[in-house]
Amino acid sequence: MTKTASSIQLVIFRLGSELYGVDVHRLREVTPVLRITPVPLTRAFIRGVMNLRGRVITVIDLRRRLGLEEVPDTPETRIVVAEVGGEPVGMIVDAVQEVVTIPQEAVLIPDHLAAPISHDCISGLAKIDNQLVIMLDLDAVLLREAHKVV
Amino acid sequence: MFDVSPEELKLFLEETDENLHTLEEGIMELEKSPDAETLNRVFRAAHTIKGSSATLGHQRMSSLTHAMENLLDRLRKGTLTVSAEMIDTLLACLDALRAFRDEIASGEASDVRDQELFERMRRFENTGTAAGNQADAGEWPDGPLSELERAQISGARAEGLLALDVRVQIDPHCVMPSVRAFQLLLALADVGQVVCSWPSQAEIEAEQVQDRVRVLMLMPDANPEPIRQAVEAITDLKLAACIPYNETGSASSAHAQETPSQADVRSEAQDSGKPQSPAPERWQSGRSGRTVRVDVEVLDELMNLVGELVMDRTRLMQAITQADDRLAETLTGIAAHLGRTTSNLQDVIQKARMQPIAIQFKKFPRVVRDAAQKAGKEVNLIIRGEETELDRSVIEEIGDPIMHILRNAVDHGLEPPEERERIGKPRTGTVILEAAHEDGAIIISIRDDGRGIDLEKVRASAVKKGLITAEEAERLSDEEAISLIWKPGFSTADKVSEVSGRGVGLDVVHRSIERLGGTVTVLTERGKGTEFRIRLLLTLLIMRALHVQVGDRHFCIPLSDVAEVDCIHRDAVQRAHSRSVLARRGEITPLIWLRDFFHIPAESGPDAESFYTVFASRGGRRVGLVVDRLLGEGEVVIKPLGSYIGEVPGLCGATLLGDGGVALILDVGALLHQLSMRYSSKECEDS
Repeated sequence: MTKTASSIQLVIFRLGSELYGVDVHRLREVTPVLRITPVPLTRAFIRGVMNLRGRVITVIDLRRRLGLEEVPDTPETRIVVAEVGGEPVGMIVDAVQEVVTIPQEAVLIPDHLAAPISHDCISGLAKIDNQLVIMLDLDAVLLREAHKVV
Repeated sequence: MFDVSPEELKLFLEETDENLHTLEEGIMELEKSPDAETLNRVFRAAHTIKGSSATLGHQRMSSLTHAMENLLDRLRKGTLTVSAEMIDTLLACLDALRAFRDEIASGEASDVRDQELFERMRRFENTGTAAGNQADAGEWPDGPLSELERAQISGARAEGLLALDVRVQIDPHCVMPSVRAFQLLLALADVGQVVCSWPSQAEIEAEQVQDRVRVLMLMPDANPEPIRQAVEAITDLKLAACIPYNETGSASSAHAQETPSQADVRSEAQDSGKPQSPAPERWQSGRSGRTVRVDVEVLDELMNLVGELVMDRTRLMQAITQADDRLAETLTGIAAHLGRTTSNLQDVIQKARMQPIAIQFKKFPRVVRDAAQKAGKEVNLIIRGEETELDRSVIEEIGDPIMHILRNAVDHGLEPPEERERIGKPRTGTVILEAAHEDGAIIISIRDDGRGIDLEKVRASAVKKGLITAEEAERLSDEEAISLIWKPGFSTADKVSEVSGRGVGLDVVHRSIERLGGTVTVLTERGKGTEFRIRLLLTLLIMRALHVQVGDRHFCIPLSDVAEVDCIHRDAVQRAHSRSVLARRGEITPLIWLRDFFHIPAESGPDAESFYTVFASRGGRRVGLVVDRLLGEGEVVIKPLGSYIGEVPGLCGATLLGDGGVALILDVGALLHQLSMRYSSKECEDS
């Protein structure tokens, strides 16, 4: 468990009943779901591509990527745009909750996680207002080589 | 490591890269023809690098260029002659300079052994001094200038003319030196303005001539070529030097027995003096006045914006269909004008993106020389059409494939010199690299006069490596057999060399060219040679495409690949080797149902009686692409799919549609590739 005095800013979003957090500096923007064009013969969790202000970006289904059950899109569904090697990549989430600032030490990096998903994509857990937030390891989630659904 | 601002660093790196290119090109040229112009160019490049690296504080880099300059200066003065060993040394220095440049770029020290290089260069100096002294064993005649001559020179200098000290050696065995000297004065008077000479004209007419003549003349620039031509057109005469005249130093510099250090000092003075180097000055004024450097990204961004305009116009056209008649008429006019303006804008930006392919071609003399040395071959590389312009992004991508084919030609194409002599070919093999326009496309041809490709060997090798079966190999036409060389894991080389032939490469070459939307064909004749012809489209960013629908998906097919479109009846389709083919007009064309290929869910309803087929071809191979609907054709702006998504079989990019959606662009080359892979794997399973 590491402790520092600094604080971090998190974007909190929801998949099902679970809350997830990502460092705000790793994200470019959040957009509503626009028309996504499916791209055939790609990895299973890739939803397709979409037009983000004149740029074609790849969109992944975060539920599929994390091995969660799929649900149809709702008006709350959002695309969180992160960056991989300078290239924007969108991730579909059920809803975006809020942006919070928490002290770094609120993030726990336990040895064993009792989480519903694989440990690979989780960098830690944070307790915010008595709610458990799963910290996503974006590098692992968006690993270019990731082929299988975990 | 170096205390410079990022802007200064960027400028230094850009400038240095250019000068390193010039150096490399020049050094390679020196080996062939060590003329004064090339020497001057190389010298200037070295000089600039010396100056800028010193400013930056890279002492080793500036010392090394200084030593190179000394060597080059001796070549320029004719006290040293070019040898293969010297070229090797200069090239080794060039590599060291590149490493130093990288040191500056990365801030990390490299392990350049410059001391060795200094030692190698010093050896030439020693041999050179001895030879130089022998040749120059004597003094150049000298004398004071009259007031009139001095005034003439300063007046001419004010007008931008240069005073040149032309030193001519008369063959010692010449029977009538004074006649030659007189001829010389006449000839030089034709090229420029002769101020005076030592011996003077009167002395010459009085036959007081030894074996050396100095002529002081006024010229518009320091280019020695017209002077050399004039001098050497006269029997028994040889131009020994053509240097800017320096009156104060003339007495001492008239002595031929200079020590190398004195020579250095003088060459410094010459090159730092402004009017003495008119060539770069003219170049600079031309550039700074009329040209600006633009980052390619800016051009990309501009092109993106044009793409937006193209879409807006499409949207406008759609809106017009809903407008009332009068409004529609006005809007149609505006839309037409917008269309014209947009396409002009496109053309202009496209033009700005074009660069001469020389940027890449420059690298190849060195590549070929190194490859030839390693393989023990003798090669003459001829480069043509380097001024041919291509889109910047294509130029960047095409370098490696060409390099690979060139190395391949040297390594496997050309025979060793002894073998060539035995079969009555010149010892030195020829490789011609040529770029040219051909109806809207660029052809890059690489051909050698080597042994040609042994198709039997290719067939046997492909069978041995399990790429095809023996029966298949027999059935293959020669053309099909040649295309085996593009298969992954294929190589006919008996031995694996360092340069090429590791069994990787040619398939990569093929793929990179196809990725650029180009094709490559091979023509070969046993014993005569081989030609690789690369055909590239001029631009990749905007193209005309056929819009089609498959299931509920929208795809674009590059119009340059489309041969024809037809409606095919179900009965015309036959099955052969577990795939669908179509026999029409005596030709068998394989079919790809795009819906099956891309696993697109079928639209409801039974299979139609007939279906639309787009016949596409690339490199002489045809395929029929079965689609559900034709949507029309139009211009599309190609957008990359990005690298995160990975390589998608059969697709080469995407484009934005007028309604804000995205359509995928088919890669016909890749589809054909898939087809042949499936075909051969099926065949293997069947047999």
